[in-house]
Amino acid sequence: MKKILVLIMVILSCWQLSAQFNPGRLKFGILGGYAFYSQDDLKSLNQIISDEIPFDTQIIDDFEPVVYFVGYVQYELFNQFYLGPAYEYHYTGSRLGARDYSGMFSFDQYVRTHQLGLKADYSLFSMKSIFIAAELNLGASFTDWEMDSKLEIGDNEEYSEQELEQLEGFSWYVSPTLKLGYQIFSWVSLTGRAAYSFDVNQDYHYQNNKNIDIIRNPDWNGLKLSAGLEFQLR
Amino acid sequence: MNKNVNCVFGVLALLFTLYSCEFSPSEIPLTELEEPSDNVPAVWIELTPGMDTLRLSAPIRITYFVETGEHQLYQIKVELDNVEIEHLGYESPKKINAHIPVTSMEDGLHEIKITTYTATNSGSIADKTGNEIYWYELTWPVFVNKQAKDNLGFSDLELVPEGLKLSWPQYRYADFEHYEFSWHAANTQDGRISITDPYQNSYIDNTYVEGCYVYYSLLIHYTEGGFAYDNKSYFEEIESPLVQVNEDCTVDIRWIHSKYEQNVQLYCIQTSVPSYGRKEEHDVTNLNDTTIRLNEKIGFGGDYQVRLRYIPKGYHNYHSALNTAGGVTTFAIGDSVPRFEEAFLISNENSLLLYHEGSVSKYNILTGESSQTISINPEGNAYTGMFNGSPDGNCFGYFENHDYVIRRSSDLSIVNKTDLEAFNGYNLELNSVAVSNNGLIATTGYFGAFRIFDSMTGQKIYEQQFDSRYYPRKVLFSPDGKNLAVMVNDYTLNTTSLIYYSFEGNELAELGRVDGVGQSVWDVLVFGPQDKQQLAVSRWRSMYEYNVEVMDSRTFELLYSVEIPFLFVPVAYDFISDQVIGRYQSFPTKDFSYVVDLKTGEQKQTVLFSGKEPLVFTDGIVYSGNGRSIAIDDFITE
Repeated sequence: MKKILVLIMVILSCWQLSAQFNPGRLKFGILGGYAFYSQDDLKSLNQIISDEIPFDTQIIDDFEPVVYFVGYVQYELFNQFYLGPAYEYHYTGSRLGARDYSGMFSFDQYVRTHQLGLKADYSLFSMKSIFIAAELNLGASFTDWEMDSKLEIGDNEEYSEQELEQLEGFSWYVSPTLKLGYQIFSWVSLTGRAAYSFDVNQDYHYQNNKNIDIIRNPDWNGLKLSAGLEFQLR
Repeated sequence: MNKNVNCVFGVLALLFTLYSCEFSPSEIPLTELEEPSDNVPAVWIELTPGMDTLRLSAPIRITYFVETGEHQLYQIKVELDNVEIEHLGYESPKKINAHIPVTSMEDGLHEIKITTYTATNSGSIADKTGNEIYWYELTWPVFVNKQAKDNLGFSDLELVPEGLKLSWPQYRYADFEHYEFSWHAANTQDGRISITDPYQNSYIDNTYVEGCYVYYSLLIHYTEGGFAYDNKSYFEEIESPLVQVNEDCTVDIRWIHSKYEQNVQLYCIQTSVPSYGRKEEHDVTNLNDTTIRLNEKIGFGGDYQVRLRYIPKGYHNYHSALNTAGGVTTFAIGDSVPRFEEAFLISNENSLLLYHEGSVSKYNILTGESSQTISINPEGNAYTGMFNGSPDGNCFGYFENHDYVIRRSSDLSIVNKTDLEAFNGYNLELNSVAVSNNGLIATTGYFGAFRIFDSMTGQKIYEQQFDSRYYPRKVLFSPDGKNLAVMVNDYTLNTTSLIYYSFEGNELAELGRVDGVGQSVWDVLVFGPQDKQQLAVSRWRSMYEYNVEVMDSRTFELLYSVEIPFLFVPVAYDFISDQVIGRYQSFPTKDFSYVVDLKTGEQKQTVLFSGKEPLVFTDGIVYSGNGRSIAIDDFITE
């Protein structure tokens, strides 16, 4: 992940150093929103765990919609057509657990992904300060997935057992987006977006053993609603 | 420009901050559950072998079964002396077995601990994961004695009112399977029982009665195979019955009750009698009766016996076939005198010279005292007997070491030893030996030889070979030693003849003869003492018809002749009272004998003479070899 960030910084530096570079065509954006990921495989995994363990459990958290963040830089290559790198960070998780006088059990799943890709933006409509644009994001998802199960028995944890499984995976994503903007000042606009992300070609494995087939994977498909600010260097 | 660059780096800083954002799970709500009770629910266990203390003498496999009801059984752990036995056998999840290696254990006390773990059923996480449990500890003392199988067997027998009690050490060890006790009473009952209680280490044979020979055996079976064995035989003699012989020769018998009266079916009284007696058998079913009078009067001249048997219940065979110990009483008529196999009268001492089982002694018939005894080792045969006395009894002789030994009756000293040419190797080939009062010895041989020796010099002074018509049998010297009576088988007449010889100057001259004196070699001729100079001859007329003829031993002149009743045979002569006793010798027997006066022929019935003991009749008293004597006049019945 750090290598990717370094690469982005290198690209931006190259642009800045380029003689044809026109800073007035450059814009930056940041946004945040809620993502509604299905994560059906991971939910079914919770159910399997719940069925297998001998005591009653309940699902405390079940991959509810969570905040995600995006940052991007675009350069107007043509009239009203912008293109540039974008970075998205998504995370979610679940908790299956039980607690009584005798102890506690939890089975937590943590998934987070760093998506790095290109964001293309084409303005469809503009009137005074309001504008509508279509975007298409595509790129690679680099996902970390942890399953942390704990069993603690006794007031002072006379018996304690913990098992942490760490996996990682790679997939491609495509996310068509409809953007609605309002130009507050000449150099800053407020934006709102509705997007749907398609997560394809998933490939997951244990961090320390790539030979085990993983049949249930994190699934980043889902609707994403976000709001953000977009800056132009004019 | 710097402003823009700062803005870019500000955005990147924001991204790195976001990078640290992560899912944070919510708190798990507490589920309210009731904690398990401190009152541990009961479980049901079954432990085999079922012993409070596990007593071991050999390796064994124990089993443990537990029923925990609704509470799930988690684990059963078995420890021997605090060391877990790892290899348990599971017959089912709730039933385990474990091998106890006794051979590698020290004798003494040990401990097995069995711990059972179950669920509490509280439903809690700890309960469901097996971390919250009830456990039950069973401590089982173990006693090891590897020598326990040594010396297993019966202890002493004990007589108890119910019968015979047999005991053996308790084998209270885990490999005990059962005792197998069996009994066998000769001719009566067999039985076998199996005892599965190791504490029951005794058995009372309530069929036992005195006299029975019983045999008991004990097997101790082990669960792992094999057994220990012991046996014991026992008998207790029946106390001999008391016998009272009455003056009229009737007999009363009295006995005591059995100590195990409840096991007795009846009393059986059996008599055994000498020849010409009558046997009796009485079954007394009324156990209150302990006396009986025999139906038959007893006779003189032999021992009678009465045998008492306690017939046990369940015995249904012939009573005489029941082999019992004790209960025998011997009785006879008459006063007690020494026993003898052969005897004769010493006229001038009023004594009897007696031979009995290798001993020679004298018995004074007036005082009843016995004299000194000498031991001899006589050689004889069925014809010669062991012992020969002279007619007056002043000396006697016998073969010893192939020599004929003559002793004085007065002091039992040896007079001489003479070789009578009687032996062929080890075989005594004589039919008769006679000793005279004056020191002569006469013999008749198997092959017809007739020889006379001088006992003082040891010289053979006469020898004659009878021709083939005669076969010499018995020879006797007259009281004065001058004459001899020789009984021969006369093959021409096919009878026995008595040839009477005089012997003077070493010459033998026939004085007379009597043909048909009898067919038996016994008791057909008897010489009287010197002062009487008489010879009594039992003359056989026909089957069981006898005359007794008394001759003058010097002249062979007939003095008296009396007839003996039919079927009676003369068996004893008294030259003092001139009587002869006739014994009934046919069947069915009669219960009396005759005494016949040799002078008058008067016949009187007297007591039955039974048996075949040797008899000596002198001065009205009869002495019998069974050690009894009677005055014949006291037993005259008619």
